[in-house]
Amino acid sequence: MAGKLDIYQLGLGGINIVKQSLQPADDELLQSQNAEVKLDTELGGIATLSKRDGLADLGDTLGSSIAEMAEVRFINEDDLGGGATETFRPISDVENSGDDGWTTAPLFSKLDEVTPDDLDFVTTFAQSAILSNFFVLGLTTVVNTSAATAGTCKIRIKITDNGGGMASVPAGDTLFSFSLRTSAPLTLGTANILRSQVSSTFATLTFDLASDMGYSGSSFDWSILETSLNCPGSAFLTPGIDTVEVSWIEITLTHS
Amino acid sequence: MAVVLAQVGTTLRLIDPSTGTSTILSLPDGVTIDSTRTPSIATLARGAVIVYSPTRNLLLLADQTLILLVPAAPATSLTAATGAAGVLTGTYQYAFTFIRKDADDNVITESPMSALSNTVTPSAQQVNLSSIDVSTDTDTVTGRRLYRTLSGGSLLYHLDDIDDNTTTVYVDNIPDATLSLLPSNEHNMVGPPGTETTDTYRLKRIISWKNRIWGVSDNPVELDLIRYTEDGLVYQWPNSLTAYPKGVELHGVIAFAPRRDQLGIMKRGGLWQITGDSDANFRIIQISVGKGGCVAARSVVTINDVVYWLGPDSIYEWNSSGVRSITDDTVRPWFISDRYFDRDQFPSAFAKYNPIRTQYELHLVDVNESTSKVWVAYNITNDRIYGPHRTDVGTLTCTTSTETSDGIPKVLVGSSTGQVYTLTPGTYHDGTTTPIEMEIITPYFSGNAPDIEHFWGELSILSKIEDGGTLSIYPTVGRFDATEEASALSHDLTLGRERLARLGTGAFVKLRLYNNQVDQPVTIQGIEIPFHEIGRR
Repeated sequence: MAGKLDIYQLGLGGINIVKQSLQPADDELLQSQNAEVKLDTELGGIATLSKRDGLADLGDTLGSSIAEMAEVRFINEDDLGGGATETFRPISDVENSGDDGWTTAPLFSKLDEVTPDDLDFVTTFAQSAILSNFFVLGLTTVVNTSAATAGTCKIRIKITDNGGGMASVPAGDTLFSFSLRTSAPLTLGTANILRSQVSSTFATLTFDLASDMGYSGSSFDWSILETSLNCPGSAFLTPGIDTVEVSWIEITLTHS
Repeated sequence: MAVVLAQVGTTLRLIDPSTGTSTILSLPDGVTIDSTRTPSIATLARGAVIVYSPTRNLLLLADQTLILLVPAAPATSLTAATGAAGVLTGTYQYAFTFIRKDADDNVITESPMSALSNTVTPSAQQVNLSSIDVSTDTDTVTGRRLYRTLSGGSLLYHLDDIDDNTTTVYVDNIPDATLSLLPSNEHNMVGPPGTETTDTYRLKRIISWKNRIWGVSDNPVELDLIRYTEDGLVYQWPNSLTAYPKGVELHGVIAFAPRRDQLGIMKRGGLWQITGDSDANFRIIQISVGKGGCVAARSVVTINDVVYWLGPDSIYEWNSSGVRSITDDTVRPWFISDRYFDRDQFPSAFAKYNPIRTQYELHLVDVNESTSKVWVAYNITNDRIYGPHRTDVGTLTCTTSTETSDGIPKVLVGSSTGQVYTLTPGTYHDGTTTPIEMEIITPYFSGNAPDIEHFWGELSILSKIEDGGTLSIYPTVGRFDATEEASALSHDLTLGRERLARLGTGAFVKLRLYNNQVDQPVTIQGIEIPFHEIGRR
């Protein structure tokens, strides 16, 4: 009687040296030194018996016998909570409103640099006290949603006096309000930016979340953070003449 | 970010798994590494704990600084005396610890408490503290933490920190009302074996589970005692459980096996498990008696909540269904005979998870050799065993699975020469040019008629088409006493399919497939052998 052995899954049954010599299945093996089943179509199909992968040198010899190796993972401090800090930058435009609005949208992309770039900014007109221009920007996703115990909010800003009354604004008057808030919106803290703090050249203003912005460490929804800048102006200003430019915003929070 | 911590000779190093470049870590003053001991390493969020080979337990911080896991306790108590007019009235006692803080003022480690000071009784006075000992563990300690009782009390409360290791005096004028809200957990401030320079015994094996470090020491009378830390605090070791019966087994607890909701405790004679999630409900029970013991601590690997390890007679698997041997039905002779591996060296076996091939790989010593050059692989996907594999590149000593900074899985293997190897798919050499000797032996094929003589016709080999190379095939034709053909058939791997010579006449045919060419992939897709039954003889 004629027949034919057709074995297309050689080795798929693994090694078997327990069965007596007549019992092993055709797909079993007695030995597979340096051969293993690879589930990889690129290697010729599912579950093909192939030469094993090589153990290639990694770097230079370390000079002495290696007794033990173990993977060590250091968790990012931001994931830990304790004393960790997170830095947030604008990643989206949430709101852009007011009598003139801010230009040029999208606003966030002009303010999100790691290092401030004063050639890349957003602008609007300084308004009279009864008018305002307002933007809200979404910030980088929060990693640590525990309440922050401290933080700083930085904004890089300047004004251009085009004769609209800026020179008449008293040094102690508030020109703008700069806030950190959640999407509710719940304001976590607000800093008043005074006329005396802003000049005709870009300068970074740094506000402490607690002492400058009134943050009390209350529990808020930290899953979303936004920052806003209101430009309500002053009674001394004539709308639509003097301009405000902002080139950079950065928020840093420290967790308990 | 993942890095690899390695003990190389008498040094500890961090190895970049992407490049192999290493950095030698500075040991704290007075600490040395015993190169004849294999360290045990466990990681919690704030650092890695290294024990057994260092003369004192170590903690590797995220900034790659090595410090003592627990500083030695103060050797002396401080002295308290009444001072100038102040706010304190009543009876007080003091104690202190050595501490290290990080940049954010968090305590990273704290020594056991000093002895209590003398009693002092101010009356609307300050209290002058003196002789506040400084630590000799200067590479670890950055300050002292002062504790004080409430007036007339006995519990100690956190008073203040001295943020240096030089000042020996302090003036206390802090009212009871402004001390810490809760008393100190003085009873928790216990260091494990290997804390003091005078400790005879050290922690031998440790593991991280449920946000705690668990360990067993090499103290012969504590081999069944499992110690563990407070939640998240690697320096406080007040807790223990015992894997009863005590003192029955020579080696006591050999290994730990962490699963999601259980911590396996392995002795040679069985498996215990700890369950629970707090001091209030941790409990230990034995779940496997006689079978399922462990002989090699470094053979234990947990993969997807399933544990694999080497027992005295088998590779075992522990999952939600229980404990079972995964080798008894297929390769039991590997582990119960002396024909394959040096069983005396089973305790030195080590294992890894190969995520690239989804395999548990156990490194052993060939019976004809004295060092580890071979390993066997259990393919988790198809539940089959392969090997024994071997390398001629040198002696392998340890292994670990990790990943690069890009998240790409990496399998590293260490060697006695100090060379680190990385498992590299698509590469078919070991080291730089060492060939991989592939040798496959099929069973005896009988055409389902073992009593019948066969004529075995032309062998066809189907293989993946390669750029070059040959596969040698050595047939054995006849009954079980037949000898292998002296000359090989040669399959040209560039062809993909090749019809070779007739194999001959005999009841069975068995094939040995061999390739030892450097950088030569071989993939076998099929074998065809036509035959005719000649008849019974």
